[in-house]
Amino acid sequence: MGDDTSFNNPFMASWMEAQAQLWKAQAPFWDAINTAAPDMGQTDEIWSKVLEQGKAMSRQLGAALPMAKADGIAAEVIERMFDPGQFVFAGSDEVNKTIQQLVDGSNLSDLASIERQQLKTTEEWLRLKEASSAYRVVTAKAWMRAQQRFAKEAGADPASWGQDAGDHLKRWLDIANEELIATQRTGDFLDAQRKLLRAGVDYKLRERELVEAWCARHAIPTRTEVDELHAQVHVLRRDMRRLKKAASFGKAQSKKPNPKAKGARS
Amino acid sequence: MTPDNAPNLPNPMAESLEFYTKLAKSAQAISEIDDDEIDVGATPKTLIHQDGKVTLHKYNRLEGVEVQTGPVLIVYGLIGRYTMADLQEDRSLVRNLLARGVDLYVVDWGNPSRTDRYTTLDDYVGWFMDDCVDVICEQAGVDKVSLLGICEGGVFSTLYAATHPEKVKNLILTITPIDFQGDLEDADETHGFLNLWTRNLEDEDIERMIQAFGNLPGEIMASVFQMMTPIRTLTKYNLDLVEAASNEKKLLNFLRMERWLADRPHHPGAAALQWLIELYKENQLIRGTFELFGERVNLADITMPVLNVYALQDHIIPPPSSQALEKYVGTSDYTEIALPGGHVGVYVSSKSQGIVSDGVFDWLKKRG
Repeated sequence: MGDDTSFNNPFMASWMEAQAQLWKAQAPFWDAINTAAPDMGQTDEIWSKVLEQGKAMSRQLGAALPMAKADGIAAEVIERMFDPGQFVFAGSDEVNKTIQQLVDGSNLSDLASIERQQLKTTEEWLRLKEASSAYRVVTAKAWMRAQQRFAKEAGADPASWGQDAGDHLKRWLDIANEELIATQRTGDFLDAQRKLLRAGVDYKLRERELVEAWCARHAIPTRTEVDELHAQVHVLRRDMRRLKKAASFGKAQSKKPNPKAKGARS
Repeated sequence: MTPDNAPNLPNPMAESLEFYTKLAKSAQAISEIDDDEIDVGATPKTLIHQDGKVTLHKYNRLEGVEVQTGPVLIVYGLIGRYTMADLQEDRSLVRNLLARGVDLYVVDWGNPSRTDRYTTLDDYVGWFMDDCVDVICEQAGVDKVSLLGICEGGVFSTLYAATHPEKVKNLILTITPIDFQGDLEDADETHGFLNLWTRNLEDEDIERMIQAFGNLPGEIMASVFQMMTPIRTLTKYNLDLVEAASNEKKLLNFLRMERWLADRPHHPGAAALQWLIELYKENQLIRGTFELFGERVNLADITMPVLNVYALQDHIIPPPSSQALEKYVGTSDYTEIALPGGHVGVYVSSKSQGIVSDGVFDWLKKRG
């Protein structure tokens, strides 16, 4: 494959990355579990039950659906769809991943690793990991419900499903979609996601405090100071625009509402 | 199993082979596409005004087409880019309107960064938009411009029309939220998740997010949008893409949409606070409490003709959220076009192309 230039194409690269994320999605969950606080044992236990039930359901479906025994691609996709890890990371975990990427950025990458490690032991970091795991458990339960429903419907009337693996796949996707969307509207899901966002933001702000303290010691401008500078520049630009307008269109134009009322809020 | 029913069963090996053949062809097809081929927003246009990151362009007239209308300014929002209206040559509202003789302009807000944290909705409407309208009026020799607002840009256009009615000839809104709690009137469970999600956040959650990032990160908005269609997100890069890749035109369309989706700018912090708290959470626009530059915005001051285009299966802006406008505007010349399909479908669906452009043009032509 020495001549393979496919990865030089950005879309090909992103496509391959998406494939990898899709089919190997379980690893991040276990990473999160393993790096979380000691009291995450309960979450671990719940997740183990999810996996056990998933395997049990798969076996039941294997008996109920003729195509589940086949190794055609649709059947293969069905099998993968049944994988709790796949489901947990489908769609609903995008916010989770995004928050983690945003807060775990490169801000500290230039600092000594020991300081980074210290940060990771802070309460905020643990809270973020807990929130992430709790959020994933909520989506895992949605997967369980979808799987139970699919198994029940398939088992009740297997003949009505036709014999095409594509039919099974479509039905499974429809059920999974319905369960996920219904779950997204529950208080449990919304609260778990709100706590996840808050935990990520709290961690980010605590991280900034630490970095700014380090910057202050080394006479380096802080993020807060740069933000203040931007605020001043913005006000000046506004004033300049207003004056330019007044000059161009006369005094009548200068009587427009004074733009001082907003902008301080942030 | 008997020989009689055996032929009804699919051949797993053949099916598997077929998929992997498609997969290989997909990979090959994708790898052969040059980045330049995935062109969005490609209709030729000329820069006529710039203020920092904000640019105003005039679309070049199509050869042989005479201008049939006064100037129309396309206003997109800060969540996504205006290129949605010009995604590809055969699915471009911009090209369709130009072909009918509309004198067309577009404002591009650029890519806001942390330096734009303090830019408010007041600024976007009362500063940048107002300057664009003035420039167009001066260049076109008119004293009024028609606005064509899209989604959040429709809210910008609404705010501008209410605060500068003397400069707005016609107001055209597409997929625009007006009643930010209109989702409560929509029984479809797949609609209005964004409204629900935002209402569930506490003000402090939003304020601290803006404090931490300086803006509403485009990545967060993108992930929330992905979350709204979870299984579509799951199957998009395998089943859907393999299917699309079987045809070069389909594949290019797929990739153009991907390019548009990936081009999701950050929403400046101060404007995001207003958008999420004052509009989404507090619904200030229809309550008459929303302020620009310290003055209340009264939707009854919208006295010019209004065309309101919404999508019946819009999961992002539920139809009741858009339809609410009729109750509040101060004009009796109010028209609605309800389109089948979803939010983005208004602009990219082949079915919608003629309906939207004809509907907008015909409505506009009658009003000059």
